[in-house]
Amino acid sequence: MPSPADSPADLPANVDATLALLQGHDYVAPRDLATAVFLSLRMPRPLFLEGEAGVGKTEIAKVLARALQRRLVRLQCYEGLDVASAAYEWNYQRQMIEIRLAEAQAGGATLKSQDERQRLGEGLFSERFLLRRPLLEAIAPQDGVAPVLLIDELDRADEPFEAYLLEVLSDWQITIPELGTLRAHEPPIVVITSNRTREIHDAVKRRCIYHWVDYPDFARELEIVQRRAPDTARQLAQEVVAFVQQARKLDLFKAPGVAETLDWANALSALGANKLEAEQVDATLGVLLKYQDDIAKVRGATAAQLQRVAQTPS
Amino acid sequence: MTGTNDSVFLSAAIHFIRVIRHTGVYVGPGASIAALRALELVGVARREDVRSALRACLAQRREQHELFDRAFDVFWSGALRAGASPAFDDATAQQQAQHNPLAPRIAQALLREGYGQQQRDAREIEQKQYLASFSADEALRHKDFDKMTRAELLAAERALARLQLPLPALQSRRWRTRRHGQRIDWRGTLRACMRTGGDAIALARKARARRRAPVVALCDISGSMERYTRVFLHFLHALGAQGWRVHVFLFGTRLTNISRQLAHRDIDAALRDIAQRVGDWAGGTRIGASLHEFNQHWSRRVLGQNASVLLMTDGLDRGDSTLLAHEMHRLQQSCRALLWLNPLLRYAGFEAKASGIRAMLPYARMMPVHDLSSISQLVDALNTGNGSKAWK
Ligand SMILES: Nc1ncnc2c1ncn2[C@@H]1O[C@H](COP(=O)(O)OP(=O)(O)OP(=O)(O)O)[C@@H](O)[C@H]1O
Ligand SMILES: [Mg+2]
Repeated sequence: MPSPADSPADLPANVDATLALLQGHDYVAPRDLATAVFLSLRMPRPLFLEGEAGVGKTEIAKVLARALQRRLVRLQCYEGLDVASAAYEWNYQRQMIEIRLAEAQAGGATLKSQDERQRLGEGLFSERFLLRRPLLEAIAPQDGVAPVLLIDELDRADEPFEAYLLEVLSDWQITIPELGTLRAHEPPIVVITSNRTREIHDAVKRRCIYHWVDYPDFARELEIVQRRAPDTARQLAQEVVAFVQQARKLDLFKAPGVAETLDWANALSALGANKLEAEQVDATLGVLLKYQDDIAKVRGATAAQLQRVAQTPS
Repeated sequence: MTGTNDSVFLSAAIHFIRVIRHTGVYVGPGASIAALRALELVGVARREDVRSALRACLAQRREQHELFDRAFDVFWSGALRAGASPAFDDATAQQQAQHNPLAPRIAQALLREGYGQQQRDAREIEQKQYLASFSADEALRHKDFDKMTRAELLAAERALARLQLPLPALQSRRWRTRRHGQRIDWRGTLRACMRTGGDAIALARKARARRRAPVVALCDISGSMERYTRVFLHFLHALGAQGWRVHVFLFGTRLTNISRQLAHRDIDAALRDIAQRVGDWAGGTRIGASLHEFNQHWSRRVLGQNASVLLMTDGLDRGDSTLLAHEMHRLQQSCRALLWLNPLLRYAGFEAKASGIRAMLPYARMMPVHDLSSISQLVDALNTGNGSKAWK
């Protein structure tokens, strides 16, 4: 059967196919995550990913966009995020210019007739003067293909925005008072992430497929390093991962994520390392740990201890 | 999970959801419906997938995961030990309580959701609500397949897979274990579970051993028909999975028998397989020639036992209408009933003007097939048509 762009055929048919799809784009997913992704695509419902920093939450959305050949529309959340930056805004500058132009054409005089003014007003609030922000772009994409919408770090936005988002996620439509209601012909594929600096309201989660993203275990993290930092020597990769896995058990202010593992492996490779050496470990600890307190705590004896464990053949 | 509707598995899942509720995790009606749908999507072949799917819908806070996982383990291993159903006796629950600190809470929840009449009734109500949630969506029922979004199409396909079909008549009373049977064979399942150490929840199915008149479907896959036929195949697949004998042929410019491919357990896999075999999708149509091929080569083989024939086409054919009429006549003579499913009936002002349509009309009863509600009507027709010549 041919699969036109809008046919459901391009979504994975089962959990195994989803696993293969992610793997094919160098995302190493545990099976339960693949199950959540599969359900989110097929139910369909937004995928809500919570977890520590650097465990691959954002990356899922990027990989899905690539794998399903959709555009990635990203809404990065922050405190004070409002509808104007999330959904749409009128382009006031261009509107002003338009008014000036109209006046100039009228020979410098202000627009007198009721008719003229109304016509200008209608023109000013048309799509031409609309600045499309991520939510609008995801609901009414200009190329007509429903994209992957990444709503990143929702915990950073404030609650009023959450309420607005809830509305959008329920109806898949955005109302612009001057223009009318724009409705998604085909809802986007939505991935929401949260670092859990605060609890997201249950009403949002209830519309979603929920998954807690954990740190990968040793085998999986090693595979991630091999795929994402392929220049790392084999022994070094194993020792780095074993070291990081141990370090996560320490009482650190911020445990290293997968992103840090990769950075560290790359840094050590750049220094020509084939395996862990005490000196290099101490010198590069800042790549792995982001807080001075954590670095001070680990440098020296603790690092040496972790290195010993990492280099003990199991 | 075809045939889940009245299966033991569905009621076990509902039982489990209610147990989770009793442990203090809030599970609203929306979440419980979502969880059951999720189960249907992942299937029951792997225990871990069942766990992940239910957890993603029911336990949406990390702190709840440990409780959820333990309850899951207790519940589904209890199911295996208790024998005939996922039942728990006090002893099992007490025994579990010794092994982990959350156990008392889980044990209490299990006991509270026991086997009293009241709880059984409550579960039954929830099960009915779940099944009703599919037919309740009136908007979807009357929406033209061709106008549906991807999500709506998937929902429609699910609804079709779940359509309650009358069990074929002429059956014997004996039950046999069958891979696509309509009921779950709980004994067979348990036996298999024991063999795998309880890791896989593979449901053995059983169905009544029977002999009954087959349904033969001839489906047009030319451009104008593609969407409708694609959806219709989901319906035919469900028929097969629910114990009907189904032969399916596709035609565009030539005729292809896809019965074997469509019998595949997994409809998506079946459709991929079919796509590879049939190169003809969305091309032109030669209805007369295709019917001729059927009458010539297949008719005697598959129409033997008093079959009903479903002819799925819009009848838009530029070929020779004398040939078409002739082949329609032959087809009608060799089957018990000939139903013509025509998506053009979606247009209120439809008139039989095209020459192909006029040639075919005298030989078949025409029915709509463009939305869920018309497919439901078809089920009724298949049902009442059984054993009578009334609608030929
Ligand atoms: N399972 C994985 N497979 C492959 N790469 C991974 C995986 N997990 C993490 N990564 C790598 O780690 C990097 C960091 O991941 P990502 O930015 O997605 O983390 P995050 O969970 O979004 O973190 P934050 O909370 O800090 O935003 C990614 O760029 C990716 O290269
Ligand atoms: Mg991120």
